[in-house]
Amino acid sequence: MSGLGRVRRAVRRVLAVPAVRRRAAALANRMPSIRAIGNAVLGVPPATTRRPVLDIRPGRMFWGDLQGRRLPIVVVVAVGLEPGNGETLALEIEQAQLATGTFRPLVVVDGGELAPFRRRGFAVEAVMSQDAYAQVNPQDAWSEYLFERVNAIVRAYGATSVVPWTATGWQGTPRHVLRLLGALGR
Amino acid sequence: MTSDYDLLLASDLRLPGGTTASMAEEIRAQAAVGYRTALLHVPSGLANKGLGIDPRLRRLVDEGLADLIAPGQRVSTRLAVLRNATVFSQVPVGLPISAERVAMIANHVALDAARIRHYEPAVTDAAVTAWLGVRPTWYPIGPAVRESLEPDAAAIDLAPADWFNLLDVAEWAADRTGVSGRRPVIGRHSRSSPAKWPESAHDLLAVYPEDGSVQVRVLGGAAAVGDVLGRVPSRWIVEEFGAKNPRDFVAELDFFVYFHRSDLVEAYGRTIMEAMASGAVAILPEHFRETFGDAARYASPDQVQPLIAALAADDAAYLAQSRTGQEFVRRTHGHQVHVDRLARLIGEPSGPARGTGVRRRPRQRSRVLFVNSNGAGMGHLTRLLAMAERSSDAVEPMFFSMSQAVPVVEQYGYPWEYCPSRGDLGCSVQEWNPLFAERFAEVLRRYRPQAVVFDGTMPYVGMVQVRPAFPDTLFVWSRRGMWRAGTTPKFLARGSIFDLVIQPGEVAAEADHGPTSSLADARVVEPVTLLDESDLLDRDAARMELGLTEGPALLISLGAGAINDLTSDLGAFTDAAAELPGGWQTVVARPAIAGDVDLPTHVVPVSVFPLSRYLRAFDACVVAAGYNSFHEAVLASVPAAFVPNLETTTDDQLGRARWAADRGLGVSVPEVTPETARAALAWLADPSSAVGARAAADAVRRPNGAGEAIRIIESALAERGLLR
Repeated sequence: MSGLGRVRRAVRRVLAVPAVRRRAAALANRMPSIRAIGNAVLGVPPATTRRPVLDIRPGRMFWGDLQGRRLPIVVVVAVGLEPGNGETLALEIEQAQLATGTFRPLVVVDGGELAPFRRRGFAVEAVMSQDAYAQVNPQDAWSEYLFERVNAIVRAYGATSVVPWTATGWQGTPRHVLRLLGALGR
Repeated sequence: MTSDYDLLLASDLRLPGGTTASMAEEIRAQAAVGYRTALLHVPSGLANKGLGIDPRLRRLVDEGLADLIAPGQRVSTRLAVLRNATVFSQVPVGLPISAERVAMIANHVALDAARIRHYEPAVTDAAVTAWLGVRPTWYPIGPAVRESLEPDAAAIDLAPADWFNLLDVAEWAADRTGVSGRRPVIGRHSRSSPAKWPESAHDLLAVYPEDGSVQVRVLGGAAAVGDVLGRVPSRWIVEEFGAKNPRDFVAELDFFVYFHRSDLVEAYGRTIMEAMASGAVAILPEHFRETFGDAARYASPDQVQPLIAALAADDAAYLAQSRTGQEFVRRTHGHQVHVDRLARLIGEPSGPARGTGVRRRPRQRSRVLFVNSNGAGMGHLTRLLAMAERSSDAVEPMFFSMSQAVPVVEQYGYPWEYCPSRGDLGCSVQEWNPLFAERFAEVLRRYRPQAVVFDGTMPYVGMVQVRPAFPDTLFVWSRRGMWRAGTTPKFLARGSIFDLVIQPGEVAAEADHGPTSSLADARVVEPVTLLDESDLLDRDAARMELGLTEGPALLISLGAGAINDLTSDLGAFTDAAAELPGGWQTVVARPAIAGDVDLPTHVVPVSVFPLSRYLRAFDACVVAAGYNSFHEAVLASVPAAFVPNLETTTDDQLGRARWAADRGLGVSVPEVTPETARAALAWLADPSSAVGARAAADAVRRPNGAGEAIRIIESALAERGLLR
């Protein structure tokens, strides 16, 4: 066993005592640095692989207000959608969700086509389009802005996956491949 | 296959800070004159946070100004420029590079004041020679590093000239007019390690006071200050590393004051150069004089504040020092310095010159960020759009909205950002508040508006939390009145974060008995509508555009159904409309944000924005009693059945609808049933009641207050010196 492994085992033994565990948890809640050290020692995975931190609605295929609420969130980034493509994309996502029942989509668009996703009960986030961003913040790179926004969305929602959608779309992609959107779930 | 380049820049590309910034600057300078650049990542143990290459370099690769070389890719170059001697003390295998010449840029000291050795020059020299088959020439980036290499001078080929890092003054320069007449703003930008701050509490507070005599701003965090003082002074404005673009940060400073622990040897101090490039006057410990000469001012900790006071009181002296600093940066660290250096080393570029794009934030107009809640309809967004449309040329409007209807602002040429509302996500308030706070702060940091104008009845918790970090931004609350009597006033308490409250007027103001009606904290303007009366199409033109035929026409516009289901209400009215005698045409407005509803065949759906432009096409309307629809119906003098939404958080739609009915503008339909819908339409279809309703609307109509509202905001900006 490695040195870290021995330390980890010793710490876990100590934390098995409820009073110690309570004190440690209280300390970690007050001091993020202590929490980070504790997580590193104990090998706790980073936050992005834990359950979602923001509990969004899963879509209209689920019943009631609770069903589907614990499914992993998949971020579909659809920038550069042509008019009308939003409906096609929303339908494809819904088909994949219906077929698998294993994920909640969160769609990121850069234009005005929010309605096809909203109609299906999907959460939607938006980023500024490349042209608009060049007008507003020409000194910054849109590619970096897009990366930072999607990264922030993944962190905020505790998403487990990012699926880019390109301007050429998913046209021609076999449905069994599109269904892999849900492959992360149970 | 081998790719040929003029230059190959190699380092651990994940390292943040000055090394990467300097490489990025060199790549731009090289591309601008036609040098072709390859970029090679050499992994090292130095990068302990973030395992992707630095965003500044990623951008250059995206823009095609440099090619990122993959491990194993064969590259031939005229000059290999290696940065960071520690990285190259052990070169990984599998990097087949062929170079005619090699420059080893030593960007930090080999042995620091704490006697910690960062690299052995001879070891790195041997590793690089073994890798490339060419012995490197060593270039220190400044006098401090050169001094640390002197003991090893015999073991390496030490160049006689330093390799100064680059900085583009044109990108960083900020407009300066002096400091006199206001409190000086001093600041620093560095990581928050203990070595970066004075170790004595006396020195620290002498340099960075907490008494408010100067405003102290810190970018990079101040946790280490807590170790020295036991606290971080509450009057300081502290932001974490990366929280703000350094260009924006130093542009807001009058003085860049950088003092650190006595045993730290700063190799270069890129942040000092950045501040000087912006025109901020640098005040530094004496030992920096060797590097910066007369470009900065030097002082002991106790001398710092007297020096600041003297320069702040003398604009001419301040501006002269500011210009000296900028000129120093331009002369010693400008792009031309690098181009000349390369020409001496490898001759002329082999490729065409390439543009490197805009890099300075445009400052032509004052940016105003219009922020709105997601209400029952589009009232919040529309009021703000009305103000934006009437802003002067000195203002650059943009929108940050919780409404899914926000893309409509594109048709007016305004950019927008969006944050989904709690209702749209279906999450809890506790979950949504942090999301909004983070997003709002990110938008403010990214776009740096001079003013935020919020239209909503509930300033969010996140807004209150974020406000202190943006003390220079004017915060305005466009607070609609007509709150329901008995509405909790707790949201009003959050109004303290705003510098100014504007209350869009209300035609039905005499029926306002809510908590805002007794307040005197707002500037009340006339009712705000997107369009003026003169903007409305006349009856014939509006009918033609909507494709309506001859005969009476009824509009049904009940809103988007954002907070409750309006399907049954809509059905009751369309059914009642089908029974009207006299050949009535029925048009149903479908807002962009409305969900799917199946409409009967006798109904014509329309989806236009703004709908008010076409209102004169109609002989009667059934509209929601929200602020927007109500005032638009009055604006167009269309007899109306007002349907109050009783599930709004604050808006007293019932009070508004009743007032309208009492005044004869129309009828109020608080409960929609087949019977009440039939009765309302029968009243509207009666010619005598329609004539009376039009006359009543004409009598109460008031001028548009949107222009007045934005003038007040612009005046407030001008008073603060924020209107460009």
